[in-house]
Amino acid sequence: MKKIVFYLLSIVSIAAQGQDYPKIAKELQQKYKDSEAAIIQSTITYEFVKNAKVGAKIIESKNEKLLSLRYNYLIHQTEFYDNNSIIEEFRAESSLKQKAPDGLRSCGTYTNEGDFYDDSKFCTHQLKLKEVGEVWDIGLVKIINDPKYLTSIYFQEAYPLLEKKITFIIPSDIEVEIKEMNFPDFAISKAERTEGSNKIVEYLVKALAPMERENLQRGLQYNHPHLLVLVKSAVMAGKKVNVLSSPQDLYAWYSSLTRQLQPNPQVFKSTVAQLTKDKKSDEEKIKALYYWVQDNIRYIAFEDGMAAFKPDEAQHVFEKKYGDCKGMANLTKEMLKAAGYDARLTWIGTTRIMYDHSVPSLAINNHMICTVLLGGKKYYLDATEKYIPFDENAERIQNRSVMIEDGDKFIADKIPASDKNHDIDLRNLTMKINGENLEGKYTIELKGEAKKDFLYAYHYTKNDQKEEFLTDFISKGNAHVKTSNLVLPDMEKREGTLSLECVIKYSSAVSSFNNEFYIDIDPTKIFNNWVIKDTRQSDIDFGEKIHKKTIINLQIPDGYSVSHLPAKVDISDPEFSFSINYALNGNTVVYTKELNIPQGIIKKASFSQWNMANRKLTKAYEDQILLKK
Amino acid sequence: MRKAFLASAFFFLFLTGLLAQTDVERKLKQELWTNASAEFKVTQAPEKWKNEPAVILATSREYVGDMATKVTKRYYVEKINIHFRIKLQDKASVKEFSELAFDSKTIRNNLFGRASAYSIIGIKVIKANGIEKEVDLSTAVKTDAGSSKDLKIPIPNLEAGDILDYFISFKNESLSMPDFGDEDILEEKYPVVISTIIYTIPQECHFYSQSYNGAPEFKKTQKDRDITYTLKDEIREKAPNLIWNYKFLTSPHIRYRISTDETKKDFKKSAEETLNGFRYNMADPGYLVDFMEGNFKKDKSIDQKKTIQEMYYLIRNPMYLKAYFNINQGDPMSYKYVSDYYFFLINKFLIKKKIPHEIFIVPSRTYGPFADLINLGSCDLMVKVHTVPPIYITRPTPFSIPDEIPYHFEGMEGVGRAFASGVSGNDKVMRSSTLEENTTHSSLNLMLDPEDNSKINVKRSILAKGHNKAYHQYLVFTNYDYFKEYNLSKYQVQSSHRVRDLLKEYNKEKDKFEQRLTQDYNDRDTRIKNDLEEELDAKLSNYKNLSIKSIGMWCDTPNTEYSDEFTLEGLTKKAGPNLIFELGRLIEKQTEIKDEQKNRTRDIYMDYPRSYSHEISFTIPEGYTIEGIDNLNKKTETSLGGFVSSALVKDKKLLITTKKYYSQNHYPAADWLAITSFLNASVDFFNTKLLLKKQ
Repeated sequence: MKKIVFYLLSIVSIAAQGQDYPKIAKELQQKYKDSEAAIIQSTITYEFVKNAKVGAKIIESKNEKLLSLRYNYLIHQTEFYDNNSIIEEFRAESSLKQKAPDGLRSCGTYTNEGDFYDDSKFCTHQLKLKEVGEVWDIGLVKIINDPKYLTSIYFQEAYPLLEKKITFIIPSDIEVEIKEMNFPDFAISKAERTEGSNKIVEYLVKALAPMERENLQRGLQYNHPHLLVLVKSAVMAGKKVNVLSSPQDLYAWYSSLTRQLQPNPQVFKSTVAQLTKDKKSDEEKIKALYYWVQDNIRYIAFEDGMAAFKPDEAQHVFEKKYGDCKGMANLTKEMLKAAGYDARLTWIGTTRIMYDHSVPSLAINNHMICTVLLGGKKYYLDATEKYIPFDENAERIQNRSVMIEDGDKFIADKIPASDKNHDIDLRNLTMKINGENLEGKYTIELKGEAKKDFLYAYHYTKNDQKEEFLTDFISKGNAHVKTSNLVLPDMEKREGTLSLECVIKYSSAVSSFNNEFYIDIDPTKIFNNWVIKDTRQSDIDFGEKIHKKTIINLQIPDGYSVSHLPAKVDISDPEFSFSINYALNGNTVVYTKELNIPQGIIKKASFSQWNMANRKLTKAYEDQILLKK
Repeated sequence: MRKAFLASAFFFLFLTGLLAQTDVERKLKQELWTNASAEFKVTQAPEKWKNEPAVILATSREYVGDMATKVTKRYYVEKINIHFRIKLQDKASVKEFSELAFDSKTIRNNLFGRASAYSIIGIKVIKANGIEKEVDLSTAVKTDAGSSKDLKIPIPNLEAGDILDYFISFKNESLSMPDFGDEDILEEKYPVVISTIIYTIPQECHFYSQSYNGAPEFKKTQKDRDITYTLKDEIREKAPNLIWNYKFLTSPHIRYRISTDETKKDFKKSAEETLNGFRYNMADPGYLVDFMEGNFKKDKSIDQKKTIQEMYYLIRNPMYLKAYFNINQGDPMSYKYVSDYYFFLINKFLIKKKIPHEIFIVPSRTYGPFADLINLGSCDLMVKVHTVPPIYITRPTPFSIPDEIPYHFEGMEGVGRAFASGVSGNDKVMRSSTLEENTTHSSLNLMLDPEDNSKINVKRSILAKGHNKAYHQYLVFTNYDYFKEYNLSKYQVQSSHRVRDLLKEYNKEKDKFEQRLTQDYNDRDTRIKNDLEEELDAKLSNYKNLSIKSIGMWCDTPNTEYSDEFTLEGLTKKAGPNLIFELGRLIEKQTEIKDEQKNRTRDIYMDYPRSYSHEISFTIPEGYTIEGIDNLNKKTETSLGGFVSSALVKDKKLLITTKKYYSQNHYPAADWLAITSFLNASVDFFNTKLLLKKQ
């Protein structure tokens, strides 16, 4: 990393001295072979202006110099806005006299990934990179009409960055806290001064790689340097007016929206009665209603304006049979209330969110669930998680702070984490040699997140593709594995362990040479050659706790004995552990493999340990059992 | 049905309204829902399809053509109704149909306020208990910018077991009479209980149809001035997913034509009439003439063959694609369709050079011969130059050379028009390429990495010929390489101001692509590396030393030849002191026939006969012996194709040769078993392992 910083700093210095853009571009081409352009300089200013209605408005002004690293290539320079902001000016002009004037920007609607519809909009300029070394000058003025909606500001961009300055101009009577996140790994400097009645805060960063989209990416907040802006209050006519000064302010705003709801339980009253009529215990009744919402309401997210924060009416969700998390939480709550239970709406940030609930920001919560209070215990119900059992919580909401509605105040709590043995994918094989194949009985037991995910995938696979899905699941994609005589359990049952059973034929597992059998015993070599790239920016987030165990009993054919058993592997790290063990038990070789990632996360700091361990695991997978006559 | 109007892909819906319901909508709903025929009232799918994700209970496609007089003009009025009733039987199909995108309703009224043209959609959901609810399309929201549709809507209250019943209706009027042909495949993504196709036309028009591959025939009825043709198809299984399948040659379908022609149109004759256009050829081959004059006037050795080659190269040159067809020079490796003017140019030039030739119109083998055509849409033009042997000239692609016929036209009989006396024109069948012409030969030299015997260092060279070349050409070449290929002195002659400008632009483009060479070569190497990893099912590192001897775009170097080096990981496995070497994988992944495709009743259509051969030399590492060589000897051959491999040890090297070949481009279904037997042999070889035993 130091080398990269030095390299880029030297380029910046060349740029400053001679402005030899073609030369800089050529050097950057070598460094960033996948990048079409680089940002030589970016200056963004956020100027806070007092506003009687909402406390403050923010004028965001951006000027950017974009250096072309490609010839004859079209890129799109895109800026986003929504119902709470407008783009006042957006223009671009190049050193080769190409122009993309403000009037020619093209704008349209845009839906964020995972939503069906939201209020996001964009404006874009199509910029032609005519020559390597051409420089586009881009200017933007955007007005943010409500300061609550200015939350996280990231330093990285889609292109490599040589220098970026972020400036805040804050009048002394507007209280703004700027939290600096993930700064230690990046060379970001800060300067503060006062100009007249304004406080000026400036951040300067040099030499940043582009922000990458990566598989198993953890929430952006965890790894990327950024600022979290908290606009707390403003003094209006000599009086302090809170914007979001505390979690209570945030709750008050949420609550002002949910108070507008007008539930009509008559619409679902008969369904509630029908679902609970034969149920004796409270638990059974709650479960029946919770599972009904899971099974019958499709997740479709409308996040349009206030709808991004205000739940849809329960009766509407009930009638439409679709809704987003808020709508589903609200329907769960109202159906439970109709059945006589104390159910509450609950705001939560999933594991995608790094911030805790001490921070008063719209950025802390991205999800809503329902909490039912029964016998002094809180049960968290998330109907967006299909096939999760009652009183179990999905990985993404475990250990997360919640804000449970409670009139004018809220109940702060944390959802408990499950223990490490709660989630498991346990595979048991009993096999013998038949020619070049290993054949025998295969059982799989799934618990926790692994079971929930399996059930969801099974039920949302088309009927005529379910067999293929099951084969893929059992074989883990190994084309040499064929299954037959599959016995499935009750696939509607959410609680307990799910057990599958089948007969397996693992072809090409045995190589036979002159009365010797070379046996590749494990058909599911999980994490084989799973090396993490040095350049990866994000922690690995598997989205679940990994706990996979495979036990294989291999019967040694008559007349044969073990000539070679591979050595055992036992690697333990705070974030992961791998173990493989071979044992000889009479005429049976017992292979036991256990892979654990107890938090489901591999942090960047652990990548080198992971890679070392993974190379050992891969080597171990390559080692074969040798039987001799 | 007419593709311009109808969407047979039923899950993409067109057109609806945000406005209040109009009379025309009410009438359509009355006609298509309230008064629907019995099959559109059915609620249960046949028992045998209970495990299908969805079943189309009924579908109807109705075309009504009629004449109308307004003021003094006679109009031809078309109305089209497409109607689907689909039972959703699992959660996955509910998810598939739960969100629909469509375009805004359009209704155009005439002076009297009646709808003269419209496009309207209606959707309703029928619950398992029989309750029906129409979807309120006014709640639709805008789709994202750039989407192909304007609006989208989630279908409310939709569950497994429900029926989705929707229609799309169009009306259009025109001063011209209909003259179109099209086809309808009866198989859909889901099985169909009853499918009805109806064409009603006025007496002024005629309807001709032909049913293929077991599709039922139309029945004709007449009422007053209107003639109706009705086809009813029942219990149709879903479209199969088949390898090597030309659906228009194997699937049940109808082809039809509506026009005012009183007899069925003969497309052979139409093709001949089209070729008559060459009698009035006004093309200007000036650049070609100038080029030949400028470069070859004094060259006495230039013969007809050479002249044709130079002509072809010139037109394929990015400079002249720009000059003749206004195709930008900046993207030379991207295929650009050149207009029919290309053939007029060639015709004019060959006449000028007194080179005898014929211009052909040839139908594609993916659709069938002239007798089966309903328009000339599947045909293309071709030139057969009467040299000895003849040379075929087709529309250029970036790498094609003269006498390469696109494989979809091979073996098809065309209609020709001769230009020059003495041209016999008897042979109208396009030449077919042979097994020997379409080959790929890979030579691989392998050594265990001396530092790490789990890795294998590979030096590879590839020689590809005929139709097998294209894959490699696009894999290893870049735009800059392409410009360099054309960077020849003969093209640097500035015969006119225009050519000077074109040349200036060409050189500018070449220089600019040189600027991005680092990224483009990086992209190329990544492309090759990913391709090898996928095909060898192994991890690859250290890709280097790509050397392209010939890209295969010139007649004197017609083959693609290149070599490279890389390291493979994961092909060896330890077993005590010994190593298991998965050598079979070096021939790359082989076509494996899935269980559901093992029985086949439809003919097999491949693009062309071809072969893939390998010559592998593996240096046996010091201190090891090899066992299992016999496993590498395989032979499964028939006249249809085969897989043959052999191995021997010589001078401490294991030498292996393999060859897989497909002798024909078409096989009857009965040959499937024989084909799968040699396919299986190659899969067996791919899985073959050797033992490197420590001495």
